Amino acid sequence: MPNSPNLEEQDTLLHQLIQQVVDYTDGSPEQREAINRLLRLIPNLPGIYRRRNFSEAWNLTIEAISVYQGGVSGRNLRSFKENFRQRFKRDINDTAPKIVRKNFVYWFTRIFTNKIKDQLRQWRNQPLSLDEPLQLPPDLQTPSDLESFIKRKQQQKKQRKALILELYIEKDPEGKLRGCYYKDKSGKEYRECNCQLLFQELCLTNPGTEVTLREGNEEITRPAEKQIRVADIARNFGIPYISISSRLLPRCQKLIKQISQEIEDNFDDYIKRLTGE
Amino acid sequence: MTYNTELLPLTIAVKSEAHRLAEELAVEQATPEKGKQVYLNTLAVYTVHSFLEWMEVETNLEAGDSWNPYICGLFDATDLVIPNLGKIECRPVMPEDAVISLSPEVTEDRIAYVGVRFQEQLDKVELLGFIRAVDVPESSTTIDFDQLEPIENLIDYLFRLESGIEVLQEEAEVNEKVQQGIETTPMSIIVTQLERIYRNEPEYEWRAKGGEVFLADTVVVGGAERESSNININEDEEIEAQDLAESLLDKLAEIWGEAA
Repeated sequence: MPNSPNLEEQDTLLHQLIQQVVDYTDGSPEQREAINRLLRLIPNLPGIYRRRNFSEAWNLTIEAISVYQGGVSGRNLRSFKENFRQRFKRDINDTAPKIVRKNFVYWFTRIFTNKIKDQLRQWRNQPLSLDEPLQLPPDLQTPSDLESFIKRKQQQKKQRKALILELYIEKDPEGKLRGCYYKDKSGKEYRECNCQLLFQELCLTNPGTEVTLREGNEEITRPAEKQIRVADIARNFGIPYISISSRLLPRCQKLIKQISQEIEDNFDDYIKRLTGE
Repeated sequence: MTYNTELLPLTIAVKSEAHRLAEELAVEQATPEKGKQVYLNTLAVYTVHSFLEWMEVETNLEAGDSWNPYICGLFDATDLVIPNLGKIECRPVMPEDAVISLSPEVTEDRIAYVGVRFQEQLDKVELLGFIRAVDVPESSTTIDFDQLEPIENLIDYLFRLESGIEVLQEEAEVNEKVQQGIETTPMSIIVTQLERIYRNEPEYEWRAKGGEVFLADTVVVGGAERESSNININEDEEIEAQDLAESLLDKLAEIWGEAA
């Protein structure tokens, strides 16, 4: 088996083949030979991904660059060459093979991507099955079955990870969350605007309030919907929204991820500390 | 931008592995209500992952917050990591929903939002479409269905980001200003901003708008809101940034332009 050419040789070969396909008369045996060699080379070019589920799109792309009105043609490659000349103000003959290859790969990929999109559009009419058919358990058929299904599963579980983290946020036993707060550019500190408050307001399950609504003559009491958002918190403290959303909150999220890792590493210790069990 | 075309979802069968993982994460949550949310989030993320995997787009499921049993429920996390590019937010949509609800948390590193609609049965979902994160104003709480692009266009967008980052990396090797730019701001954020300008602005605006991308200390994905940190920029720096943006956008336009 011959050695596969190195990248430099491959680039030079691509460069030559494009030139040959463009120069030979359309449909001539010489052009046909050059196109065949080019098509064999394309899958090996860096940046070309064949995508095994899109063989039809691949074949159409190959056809698009090598065939015109049913016959072998250099028409499309000539337009590639012409676009290149317009952009770089020089011919591909006067350009380093590596640059020609990069631009050829982008051009090919754009055509291939368009063919993939066409193929996906055709598949709209039937569900796309990426796996063997799924048998759902009888007690879990629809989204409305989920709560009771999970409740049953949770009852079988002694400790739940997210619950431990919620307890941590409520208690903040080491003061880490309260210790991370907003400070403006002048150095003014907003100690109340801290990570514990952000998580309590934005993320915890039960904000602990109820609302009473009047519907006709009836009064209905139900848990408040969680509607607090970063903008509300920013407004309450008179802090720019962007300062919380792009500075404090990412810091808090990083901190809580570190804390969750610490809990994971010392799970039993934290259970004792947070639940007294 | 509004896409007035009829919504054309792609229906996908949910894998059994998705249900197994969804149950595993859901039972760790504080309440059944949170568990339900996490279950649906997991199915949404896993299905987008399966779809992209099938398209041979690399993803890293485990790197997302949506895969962390402690915080997936806390953050209402539906992120899917696309290595080197950023995160796709896979938002679940219930059959009766008229809009896509967004998590109130930060959108850092988000490159796109995908709507994943559930049906009466949990064995199939519909990929409704996607929207680039740069097109969603930062304080938005919902996305309308008519803002979504067909899901197949996502592959175009990922190609643009990937090729854009490649160009940026090459430029950084020979251009100090680009090198400085990518040291302070992730490349994917610079490229998503340049892609937004390329797509939405007339060519005569590219220079000025693109220059702003390199002048700001912090470029935030999600709408046009940026920190006004460029107050003390002098004229030379501004011209330099605009030269850079113009040359980059010219190169990117050639790569991103329409195929023959």
